[in-house]
Amino acid sequence: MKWCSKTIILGLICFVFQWSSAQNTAIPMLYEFVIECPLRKCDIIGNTLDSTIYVAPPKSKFTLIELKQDICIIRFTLLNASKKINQSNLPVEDYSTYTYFYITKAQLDFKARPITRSNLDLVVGNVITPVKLRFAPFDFTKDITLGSTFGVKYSFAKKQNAAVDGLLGIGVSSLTIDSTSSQGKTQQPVDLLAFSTSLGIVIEFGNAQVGAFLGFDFISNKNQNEYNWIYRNKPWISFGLGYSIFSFNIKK
Amino acid sequence: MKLAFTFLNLFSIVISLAQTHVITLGKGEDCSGFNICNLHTHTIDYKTLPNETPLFITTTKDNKLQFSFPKNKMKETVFLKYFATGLFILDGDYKLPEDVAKLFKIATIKSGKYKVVATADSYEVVF
Repeated sequence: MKWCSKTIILGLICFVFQWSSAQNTAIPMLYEFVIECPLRKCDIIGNTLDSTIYVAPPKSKFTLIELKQDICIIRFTLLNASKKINQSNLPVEDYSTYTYFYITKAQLDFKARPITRSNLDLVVGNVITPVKLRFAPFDFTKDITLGSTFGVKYSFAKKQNAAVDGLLGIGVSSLTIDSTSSQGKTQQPVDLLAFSTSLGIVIEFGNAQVGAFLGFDFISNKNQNEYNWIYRNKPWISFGLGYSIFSFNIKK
Repeated sequence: MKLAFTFLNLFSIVISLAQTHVITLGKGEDCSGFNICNLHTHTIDYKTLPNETPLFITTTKDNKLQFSFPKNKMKETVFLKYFATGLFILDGDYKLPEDVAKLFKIATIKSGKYKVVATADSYEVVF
């Protein structure tokens, strides 16, 4: 049984990591410099046109044209809509007038941020809830839940690095049932698997996150009959506070 | 003869409504800030300064002053410094030259951040 549990958990972790890495390949098209950035003029395939070093000001927006190994070919884009960005609001331009520049991949990563096309995004990812608070009677346990989470992320327009996520999670938990939580049906602690569902809210400010989750753990009828687990059908609450405690991938 | 006269009249009206000017962006003696250093009528032998770019001055339907900056005449350094953020910044009121003020009946451009709109061939700013 323990061997089976470990295999399932390992399989689930692999699935989540594989899914996450697959989602990371999508590159957002529009970016904004958060700080001034040096750049060089080039043609559309990245050949340097002159040796002048230009400087892009903070808040200048650009379209990523191509990512070629370590260089990113960009062109500046003036957005006619100041708040929400839709493809239809992008200005109609004559492509023959475009001027291209290139920056390095490191500059793209550290000096620019993607511009969201609306305040709402779909998020998927994985959340680990390391500590659960259970009630009636009160207890806190280290029953770890691993699983996939999906939901909606709302980014505040004025503070683009602040967001609220509403999340729905499903996963598998590892429970430890002892004599107290089984009303004396077992004297030795027993590890069991449970199917977990949860609803959560995460408040993000930059990389700092605060989250709260409310969920239920369901063990099989066979195990329930055997151990008479007292927290069956009772909710648990889990809190998190820290730096990038929850990892999400944004699906636009 | 009458037709030719009418055509000339119309042509002169169009010319007067969309005159080619040259603007030097910046502020102060070294033209380094965010304002308008100089605005003058385009002449063939004008000296090209680093922050200088040609523009057409017109008015919108609701009589607001509009600057249209041709993309193909604008230097990259000017675009990056004054237009790339999508906002044209005037950090102080700018008193228009007498000829422009007289032509468009607008004396001053108020300080502020004005949205830059990109069209197919120019960047436009309405004050």
